[in-house]
Amino acid sequence: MSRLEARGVGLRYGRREALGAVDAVVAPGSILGIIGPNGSGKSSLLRVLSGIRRPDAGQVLVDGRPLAGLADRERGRTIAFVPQETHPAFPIRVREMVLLGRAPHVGPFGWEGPADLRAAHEAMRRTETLDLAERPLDQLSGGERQRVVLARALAQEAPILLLDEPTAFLDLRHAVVLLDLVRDLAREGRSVGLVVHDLNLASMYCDRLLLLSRGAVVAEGTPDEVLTWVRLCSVYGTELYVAPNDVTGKTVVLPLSKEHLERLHRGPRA
Amino acid sequence: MSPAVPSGRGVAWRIHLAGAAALAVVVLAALATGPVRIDPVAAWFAPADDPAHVILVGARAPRILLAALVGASLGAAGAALQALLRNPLACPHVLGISGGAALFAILASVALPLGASAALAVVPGAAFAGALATAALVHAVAATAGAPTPTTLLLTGVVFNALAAAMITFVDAIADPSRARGILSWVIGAITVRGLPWAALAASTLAAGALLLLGSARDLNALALGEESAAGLGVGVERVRRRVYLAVALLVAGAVPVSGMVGFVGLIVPHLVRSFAGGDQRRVVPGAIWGGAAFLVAADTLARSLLPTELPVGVVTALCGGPFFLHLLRREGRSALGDAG
Ligand SMILES: Nc1ncnc2c1ncn2[C@@H]1O[C@H](COP(=O)(O)OP(=O)(O)OP(=O)(O)O)[C@@H](O)[C@H]1O
Ligand SMILES: [Mg+2]
Repeated sequence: MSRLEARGVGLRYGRREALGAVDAVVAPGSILGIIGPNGSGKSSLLRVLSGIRRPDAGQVLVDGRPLAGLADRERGRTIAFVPQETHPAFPIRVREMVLLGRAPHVGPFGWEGPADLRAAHEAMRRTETLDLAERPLDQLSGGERQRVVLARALAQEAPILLLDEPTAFLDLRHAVVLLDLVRDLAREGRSVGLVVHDLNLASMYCDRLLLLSRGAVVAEGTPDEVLTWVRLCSVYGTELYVAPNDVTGKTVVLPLSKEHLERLHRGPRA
Repeated sequence: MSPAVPSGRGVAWRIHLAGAAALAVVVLAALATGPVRIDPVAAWFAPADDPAHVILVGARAPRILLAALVGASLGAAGAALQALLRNPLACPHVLGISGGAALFAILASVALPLGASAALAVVPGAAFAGALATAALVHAVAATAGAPTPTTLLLTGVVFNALAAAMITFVDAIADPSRARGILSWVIGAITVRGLPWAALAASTLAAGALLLLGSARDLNALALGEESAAGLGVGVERVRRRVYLAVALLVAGAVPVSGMVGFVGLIVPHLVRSFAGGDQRRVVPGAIWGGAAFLVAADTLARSLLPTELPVGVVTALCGGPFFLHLLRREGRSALGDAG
């Protein structure tokens, strides 16, 4: 179990500031959802939290110790990070892809041993990708790919899991199946940080949400605290319908088309 | 639980065995082939003044040894560059690294009045500096563009090769013939036997470079997924990159003083290896070392026995490699030269 914490982190790409003084906590046993419009800095925050980019200001702590002090391989055993997109340069089979998750556990001249094979097998079992083992990655559907990438992260056996939009490209069922699994992983004690675009999924699955806008934290708290109508409409710059729903009791967020807005403004006569 | 995830360890040993066997066959054939056919085994055990023995030990063996060292170096460097840059068209020649090394080596050997022993120290050093400088340039281009399109990288190489070829031709035209003798063949690439110390040097740079690359192979596998994924897997991306460029520069620096700018070996061989050994760099790198050696020995044997006059080996590799390159371009199509990225 490990607690990951960003304290006042700032990040810039050249002159463009992507993050300014952001605080975030990814706590064991829970899911932190990072939400916000395109370009608000969600991926940047995940890069900083995962240690693949050094923040230009502030620092990231793992269990109170600076992440920057960890050696690369140790960092790979502590934090499994899955970027928004993965495009292997060469054809690769699913099982090779998953085995790459063992990279931080295997030495420079090493090959995977029995423990590594077991970990990869277990990761593929949990993500239901065993049947895909021999398939070339580039022949999989978007949803299958996401599961394979998650399997790789699981094979890393890291206590902290950071996923950038794992439900992109997934249909409703696959999104739910994947996030159910992610929630199980969190309940087992892992610390999970997640970038999600779908606010309804974020509301349903995340224990806490962090709403970013232009590189700054606009709100942080439970989904019900964060997902308020006024705040969302202003951050996303569009009219929304925000209300709790009868089935889950959680907040649902519905974007409204121009046509519906006009109808609303004309009143119930129409 | 059945092992759905077999380890590749066994396959790695098979690569070494198969590679060594292939090289042995090619070397034996190469020893036998030439203006005079000889039986290599009989000639080896023949008395020292036997003509066949003299040809074998005095002429063919050193040349074949050198071709094997150069081929192994270029094969390994090509495999590593393709993986590092995620670009199937990369190799030390195409990227201009061989050109940079040749350029520096020639400037050093012409500008400085060197005796034979001083040349042995200075020329490879200059080649190494040239290779490193070009590699740094390639890296700078690769880094500034974020994800550079393969086109950008290849164009950098084109420029450097043109520059190197121009300089070599220029130096050949103006330099003291005794010192510039034979350097024109560097442009196309020819195996040049310069004595045991040069072979020993190429062998040491091969050993050092190969060791560095074999130790980086697993990290290169992760890098094939992209920088961010690799970093997320605990790979120190910048460190691996520096190590690979250093290894490539060493390999090229050992090869260039005895062969010039031999093209396409580092391009073709990794593809051949991948086509039957898969994409795991822990198999591709050793495969490219053995395969590169066998390939260049075969090519050099063709070069010196195809026609009554001897051809530079670079002619043969270019004649095989040019069409192959075009084939790759066509196959990779948009995905490799993609403007779409
Ligand atoms: N590698 C980069 N180089 C330069 N600028 C970048 C880079 N990556 C991101 N940016 C910029 O930083 C800002 C934040 O980008 P980031 O990718 O973190 O946003 P995001 O919230 O993940 O967006 P999306 O929802 O589209 O994935 C954007 O303005 C983006 O243009
Ligand atoms: Mg993003």
